[in-house]
Amino acid sequence: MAKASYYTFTASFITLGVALLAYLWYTIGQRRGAGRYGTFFTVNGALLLTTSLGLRWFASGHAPYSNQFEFSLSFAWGTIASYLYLEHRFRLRSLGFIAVTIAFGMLAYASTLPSRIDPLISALQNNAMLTTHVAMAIISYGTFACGFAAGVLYLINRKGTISFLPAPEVLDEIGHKAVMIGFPAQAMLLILGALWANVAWGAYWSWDPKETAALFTWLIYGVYLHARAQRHWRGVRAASLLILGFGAVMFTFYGNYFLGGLHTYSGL
Amino acid sequence: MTATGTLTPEERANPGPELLAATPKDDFTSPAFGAARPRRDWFDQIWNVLGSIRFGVVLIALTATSVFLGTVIMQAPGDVQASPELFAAWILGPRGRYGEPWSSIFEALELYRVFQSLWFRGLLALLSLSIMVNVASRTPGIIAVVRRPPVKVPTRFFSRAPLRVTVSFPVPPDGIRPKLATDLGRKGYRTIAWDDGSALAIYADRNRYGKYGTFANHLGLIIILGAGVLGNVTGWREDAFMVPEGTTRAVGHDTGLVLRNEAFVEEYFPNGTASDFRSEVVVLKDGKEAARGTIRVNEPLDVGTVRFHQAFFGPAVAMRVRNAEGAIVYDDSTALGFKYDGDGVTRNGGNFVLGNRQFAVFVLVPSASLQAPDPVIPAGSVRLEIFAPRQPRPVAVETLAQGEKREIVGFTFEFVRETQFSGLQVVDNPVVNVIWIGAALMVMGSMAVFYLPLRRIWARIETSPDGGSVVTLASAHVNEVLFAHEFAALGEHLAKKGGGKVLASVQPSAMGDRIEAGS
Ligand code: HEM
Repeated sequence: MAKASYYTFTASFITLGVALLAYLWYTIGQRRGAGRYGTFFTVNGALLLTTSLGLRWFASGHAPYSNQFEFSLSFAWGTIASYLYLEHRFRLRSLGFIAVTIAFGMLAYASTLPSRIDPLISALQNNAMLTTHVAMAIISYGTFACGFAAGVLYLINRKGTISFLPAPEVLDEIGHKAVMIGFPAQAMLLILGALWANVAWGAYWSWDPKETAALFTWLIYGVYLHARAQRHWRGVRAASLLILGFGAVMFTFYGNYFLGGLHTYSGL
Repeated sequence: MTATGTLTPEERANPGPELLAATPKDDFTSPAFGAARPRRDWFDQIWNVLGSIRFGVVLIALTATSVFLGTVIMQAPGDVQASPELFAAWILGPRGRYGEPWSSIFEALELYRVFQSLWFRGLLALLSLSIMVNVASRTPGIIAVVRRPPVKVPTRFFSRAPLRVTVSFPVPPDGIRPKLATDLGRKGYRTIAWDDGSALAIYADRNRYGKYGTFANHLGLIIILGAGVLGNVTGWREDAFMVPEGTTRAVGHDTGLVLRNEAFVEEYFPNGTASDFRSEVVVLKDGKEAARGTIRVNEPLDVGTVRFHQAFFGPAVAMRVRNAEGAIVYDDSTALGFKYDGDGVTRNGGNFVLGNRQFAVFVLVPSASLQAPDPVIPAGSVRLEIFAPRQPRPVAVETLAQGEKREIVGFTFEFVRETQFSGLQVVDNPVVNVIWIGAALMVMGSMAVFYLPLRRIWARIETSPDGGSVVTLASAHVNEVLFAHEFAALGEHLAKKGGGKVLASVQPSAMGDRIEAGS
């Protein structure tokens, strides 16, 4: 089962690589027909990744996010799922090459990590909590990745002069939509984490570096939401905040390499 | 803010027709922070600054920066902060890491204890205050948006609105108006009929109560911050409540609670990591059993607002001590929950007091994690260091094997057996549930604002030359690509339902990729 999970992971990795090429050809190469292939391979890559995660869940008996390998896969999954949702809602594929690059990069990183299934240490044995807590991480970080993609394209096309990229006001709105999903999800992530810590450690908030890193990320998007409420903060500044916010996401995600604290063992 | 030409948040989020047609402003668009009314005294000025969203942005950004600094700069643990000696030892680490002058700057700015510092607490207090002032000043505007909709718009709005759809129906106006109202109602709009001079008209809006979400959202935030402070003031916590197996300990803090550790169990995975550890306990309140159960890491035991958590465990020793007459003066276990360095090794230790503070007895055993054997204390033995009051050196030091009795300083000490203690955290936070209420309000409030956006549509119904009617739907939501699309689809939907035909559709921004559009 764990083997089958690894094979489907590899298949999804390759499929998304193809999707990435198709999206690049579509957007940079301005080949209209390639877009449909991009979507086709992304959807299939997502299905394969879902299967891989499902098999792993089944094999280990717990949701697949108890170590860095599993969480990287889940992060990639969240990014693709959010991207496909936005592609569908806004009917545009130009974000694809950035969003899929992020997901592809996460999978490439995952392929360098040990993929064994470990027994859970006792602090992580609270399944329902673990599942919802990290599900919120996947939703928020996935949508923030798409917000980042929209922010980057905005900066590239801020004057609206690049005809093959979406209009700046559309990109601005996509970024905002992404944060509107990601911000409450991350709030729930923090709250569920607090609920969990309250049960496990007897303190709902300990100013642990992992907690503060996630809070920092959330506050950046808080700045984004309030700054954007002022008209002159839309556009370039808002897009820069989307990029900074995703930088904070990556910092939170990789933070346990250089930050200690209660979360270190879990790799989350 | 309106005075300088920018829009208040309410105006921006709910553009009404007056943004396009220069009609006298309705109350609901009046500036949120009172900039239009001349406010001159200092109270009003402070009020305006505190409540302005610009100041809010600065405060949130400052909070974010502080949290960032507290994340990347080493933070002194709580016990280190509490003790100057521990801090003096601890600070050597960061000093070596950051070097001068950074280390001194960090120290002066309390950056080694950001989250406990006065300035950080002040910042959070200012943030709360700013939120309260902002929400208070926005309240009349928000209530007006919900309660006093701008039903009537000037006729020219129907030819100037950024979103417009014209539909012809074969039915005269007084026949189509109720039909349109019903169909809009099915799409979630509430409708108000009005007459625009010669023509019939409809005002329709959807999700107006979503606006109130911003109250729940920001109120929830204040509740979380307030309950955090209140919890610190009214609650207490005991991080190392150590109860050896088979013994009873009082919880203290005027709770009248006593905990008895009936059994402690630990289990391991084959690879040696702990898979489970748990305590079977009974809690007595004023002598009567109040609770009984198993405490695990994720399964605390609640007794009223006091919560017992399994946190750690370690060795304990059961000792029995008799006085010179042979009467038992001590028969209990001592948790060896502290680490001591000596003779080049680390040992676990704890202490108990004999008689009326006659002697303090320190009990030491070799650490279980010890690689090399202890050079002084054989495995399975204990060392007793007995101190008399106000004497820096022990009056006696003896090592006992298990089961051994020995007379020391006039008492007979017996090392009964080695056991384990259960390390519990005891927390009393009477307001922790308030935090969850605040959190729920915050999340649900923001979701209400985000996912239930207020939408407004006006329809003007004119008689067409052939006796049917021509309906112009107009809306003022600018910069909303998705809504523009939904609006066009709504026009088509209404046309289909009423047997009509879409004549024209005006949308400022296009959906989809420009590549797809073939540009
Ligand atoms: C960390 C603190 C804060 C958080 C997490 C927060 C959260 C939010 C969220 C999620 C929204 C969008 C939903 C809604 O309208 O309720 C929002 C809107 C808003 N907040 Fe805050 N807020 C914070 C602090 C502040 C402060 C300090 C101010 C003002 C001084 C403020 C003023 C506003 C205003 C005016 C809006 C409406 C903006 C618009 O119409 O787009 N908030 N806030």
